[in-house]
Amino acid sequence: MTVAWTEMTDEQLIHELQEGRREALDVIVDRYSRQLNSFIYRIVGDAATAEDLLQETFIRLWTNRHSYREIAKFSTWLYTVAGNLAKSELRRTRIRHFFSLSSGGERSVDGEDERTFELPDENADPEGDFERRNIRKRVNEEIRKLPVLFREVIILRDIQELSYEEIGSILKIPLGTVKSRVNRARQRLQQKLQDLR
Amino acid sequence: MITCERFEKDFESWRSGKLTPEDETLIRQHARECPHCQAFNQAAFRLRELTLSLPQREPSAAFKYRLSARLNDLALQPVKPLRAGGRLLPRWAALGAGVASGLALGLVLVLSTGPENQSTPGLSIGTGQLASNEEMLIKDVDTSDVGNDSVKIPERSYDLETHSQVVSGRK
Repeated sequence: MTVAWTEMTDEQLIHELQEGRREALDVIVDRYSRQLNSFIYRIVGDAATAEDLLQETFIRLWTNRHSYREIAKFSTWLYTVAGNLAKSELRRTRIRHFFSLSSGGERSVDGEDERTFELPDENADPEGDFERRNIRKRVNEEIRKLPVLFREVIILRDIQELSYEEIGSILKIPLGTVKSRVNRARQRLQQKLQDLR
Repeated sequence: MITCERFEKDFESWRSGKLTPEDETLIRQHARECPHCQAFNQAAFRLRELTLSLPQREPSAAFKYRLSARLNDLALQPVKPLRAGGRLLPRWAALGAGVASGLALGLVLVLSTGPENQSTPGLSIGTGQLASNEEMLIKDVDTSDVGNDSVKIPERSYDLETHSQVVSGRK
């Protein structure tokens, strides 16, 4: 029985990747680029930077493919690499801003980013769309303002919809800590967004 | 009847659909009857709506092209031998070091060989295998074909029974 590349499981794909087959990487990129890009973008707040880090994530996947062991889920590994790159970039950004004489502050995250890749809907309701975009902008801004420890868990749990166990594996923190941070992040967001009911 | 503390503790499990039917009934009943927990539930529900409304962000249309270009660049870089310390050795130096080590090893064996020593393995490295001169040489990887556009890549799929590649004809 033959299996098309796109129908392979992650474990089959990583096996092929370790055999040096670029087709496997293409499928992995198609399968994960959207959610990883979203994750990285919401951590760093800039679309161009997010894409650079996304590229670096897949490069590292390719160059370190032999070091993957089936101890954790493959997606956990990808998220771990992406998350570490994003947080490293945040640290570099903070250091640059600290020493910058003409700091303009961090770029804001908003739903109005010109690099938003959503296809126009011919049946769209312009006013409703405008309101929805404003709401999304507010939500993104408030997520962006959360401390990184809360930001990353709320993104992984409430936007990427990963399980607590997966989040614990990605961030290398105990399950109890994950739940606690998610609850606290939600409480903060609820307070900030209560006017949006 | 359950307490507000129990409600908040089980709330996430309720939301994830992990409660037993009996516990779910108790949670729902409490959410209806307790104003505080009702407000808690509504706030949580609203936040969930808001976060779920955030779209996933696609990378740009050029992303795959740039990634592919970068991977091709990586493939074209020559794979150089590394030695301890991470500095590069010219091939002749690696060969010379290998020959010299082999000679030294041979000398040690000759000097120590006697009827009572013949079973002594001498040097052992790692797994107990003596490294031959050839094994100690660092071989370059031939990358002359990498990135060659004239190389035809056949269509492949994966055979689950034999765990092998099946190459189907594509000229």
